[in-house]
Amino acid sequence: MRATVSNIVYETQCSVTIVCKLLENETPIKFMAGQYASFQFPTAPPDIQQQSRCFSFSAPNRDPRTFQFTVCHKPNGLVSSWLLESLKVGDLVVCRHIRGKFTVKKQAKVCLMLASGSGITPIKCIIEALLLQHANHQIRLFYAAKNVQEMIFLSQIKAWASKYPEKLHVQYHDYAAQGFPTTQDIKHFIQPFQADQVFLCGSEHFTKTVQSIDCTDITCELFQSTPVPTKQPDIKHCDASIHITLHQQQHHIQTNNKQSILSILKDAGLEPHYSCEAGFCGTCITKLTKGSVHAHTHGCLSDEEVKAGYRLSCQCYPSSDHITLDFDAAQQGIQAKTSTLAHIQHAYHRHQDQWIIAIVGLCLIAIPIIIAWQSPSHFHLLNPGPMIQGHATLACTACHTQAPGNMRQQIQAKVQFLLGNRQTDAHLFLNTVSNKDCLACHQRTNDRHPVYRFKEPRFVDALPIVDARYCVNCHQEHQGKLFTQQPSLCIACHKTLKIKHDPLDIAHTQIIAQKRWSTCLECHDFHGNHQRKVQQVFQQRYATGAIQSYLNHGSDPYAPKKIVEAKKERQ
Amino acid sequence: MKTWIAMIVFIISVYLFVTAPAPLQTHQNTGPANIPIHALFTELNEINSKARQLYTSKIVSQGKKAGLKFSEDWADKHVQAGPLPALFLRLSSQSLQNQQSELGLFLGSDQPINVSNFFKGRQIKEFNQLKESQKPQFFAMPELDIQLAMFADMASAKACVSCHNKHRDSPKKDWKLDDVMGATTWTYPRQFVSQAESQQVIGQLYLAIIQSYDAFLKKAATFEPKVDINTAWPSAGHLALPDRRTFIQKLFQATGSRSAQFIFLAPELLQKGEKDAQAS
Repeated sequence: MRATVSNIVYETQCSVTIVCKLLENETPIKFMAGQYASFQFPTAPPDIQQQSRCFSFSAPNRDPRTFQFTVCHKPNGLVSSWLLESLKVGDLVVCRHIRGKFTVKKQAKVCLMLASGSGITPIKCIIEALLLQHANHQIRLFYAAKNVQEMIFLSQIKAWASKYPEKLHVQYHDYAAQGFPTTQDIKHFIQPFQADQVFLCGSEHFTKTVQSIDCTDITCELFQSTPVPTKQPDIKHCDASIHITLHQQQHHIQTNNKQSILSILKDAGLEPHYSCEAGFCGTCITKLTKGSVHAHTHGCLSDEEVKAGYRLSCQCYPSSDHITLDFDAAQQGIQAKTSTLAHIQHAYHRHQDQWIIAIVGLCLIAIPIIIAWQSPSHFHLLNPGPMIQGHATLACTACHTQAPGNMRQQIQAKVQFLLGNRQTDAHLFLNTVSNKDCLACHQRTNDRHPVYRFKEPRFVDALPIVDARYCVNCHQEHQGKLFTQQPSLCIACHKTLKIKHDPLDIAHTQIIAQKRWSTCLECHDFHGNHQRKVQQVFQQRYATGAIQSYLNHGSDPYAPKKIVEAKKERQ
Repeated sequence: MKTWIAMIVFIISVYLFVTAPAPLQTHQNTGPANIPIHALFTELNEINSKARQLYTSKIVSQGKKAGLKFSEDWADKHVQAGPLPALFLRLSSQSLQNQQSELGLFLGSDQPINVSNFFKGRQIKEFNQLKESQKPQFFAMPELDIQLAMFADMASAKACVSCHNKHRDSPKKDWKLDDVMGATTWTYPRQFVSQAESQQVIGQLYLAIIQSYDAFLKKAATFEPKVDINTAWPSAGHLALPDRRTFIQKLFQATGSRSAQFIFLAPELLQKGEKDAQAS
């Protein structure tokens, strides 16, 4: 896609946001917040024209005819130096190969984001997209930079944090004042929260610091400038006959060149896709179908992709006499991988035997279900995960009551409901766990937040944040946790706290304004069933970590005794 | 392959549907739903209003003269007090939940003592219309899939007025008798109900009121000096409370013909309530 520069915004002394508008005859641009693309600058001096660089989009895709990306100056950076010093409004920009998996998963509601330096760019784009969608996400951002002056988008992020305090909480870390972030700093930031997705983007040192913490499932993006040419790897074999499929054409190159495959192709006048030339972006991917190559690194390729024969041509060097590389198959393979349906259809047409395997697999899954369906004593076959403490000794039927009717009646009723011939739905096998099941043991008259109260219409706006009408929405079983919501959920109803005779030594309104708290649970017990008195001195509040630990079945900081104990058996 | 799959599907379909036993009954086979919900809401509100009036005037007002106390913190085991009228209604709401009733009962105001009872959103709009028109408001909230009604909560007894005017957290200190102090909100999931369903819901409300009184009696049994729980009502110099039978009889008397159809249920209600009271 070709575009012209419509605006240049100097974010800091070392970074600039380039706003572009697509040329008239270009198709609209489409990308997800967090993705990046490969850019070239045809109106730049010749030595820069040939270069392409990957930059993240720095604002969401609101207008399909415009896009913007942010560039941070790298020491001795060829392209970044020119962009900061010489790019002008009206210059041409070519945007290609929009890609990247640094995006928010659909089911992720709580996002932890860790950024250093220019790594803030894709993260800022994601945050902006989430806030624009008015999505009910909770975002916690840890943003580190050399100093405050080099914090890109600082005023914008501060404005968002001020406008949406319940959605966005930011912790800034200034190397100059606080030193480089340590694992302790990061741990202290991460640990109180149960994140659905963790994003990490920044310098190599920063990402290594974070990754050294036991924190799984991090969505990570690491950008580096094209490395200054260093000593070549020790390539012994260099005479090779390379057969290439590229852009649906066959090419043959005889080479005795000790350079990478990508460099060999470029020298031969071919135009393979490429971008970072450092193994990070994956644009130059190819499939090795014959012969061997020496891979300096596999970079962003997964183990599966390497096993399947995929290689990064910018990192590979010939190591056999005859080599066959298919660039087209590599590009198609990447596209097909993302389409599960296409994959299944492809597999079906090519491997019909796999259908037999699938049917056998379904039968194997169905057997325990049917066994359990016929007999409650076999329900344990279907237990999907660890139980809440105190429930481990209960029979499955304590909560999962059997649905009325036998199997055939239930299926029949379900089908009738789906066809619209029956007014009420039927449950298959077991009834859905409802409040009735929970209250059979946990009924209390002293409950400060009984579920029936949330059915009142005044709470309609709070329900999207926390649907407290049903016990299971906060206490989801089979997760091994006492509480499966965010501890900050109180804000759904108690956003503005005006207490006439505030018993606390520091007014609640002051604590909130100064953001000196992270959850009301630091002092208040939600259901009010612990035998205790609420603290009246702010300093005596429980540590957030202690609360989080308790909610994950750690020790109870509130009080050892309950006012009303749960019944041991269902009443 | 396709033939085999088709045969298996055919056999399963015959087993599941053609030779299936009698269909599962819906729990709503209670007859034609031809009673509009606003009629049921009106009925329920009449019963509830009379019950609260009975409790406020005969128990709270007279009880205070007899030396009984009523407090917001009545549930605290160290506090020797019974529930205030608003909290009595809360107990009824709780009891409806315990019965797994689909009926919702709530109390709120635009001048509440406790800010958690402050009307918001649709309710405040309907409440303002209610005050202006002096008529109950019936409306639906599709986003919650419920039908609603709001009825004015009047200052029907001197105790209502005096307590609210004296309370330190009350935003309004000049309430008068017959002022609209707030509203009772009723909710139900369906727009029309059958006769049987209507009777069932009304029965649930009666039981909720009786169980609220049971909760008070249970607390009162621990008071010092001892309260005489028998057939007498409290009055100046007589520290007494009616037992549940006496209360139920008065309740049915107060709710007049509306309760006629439930008189025959009274033994069952009494027995059930007594069993529940013993169990707790």
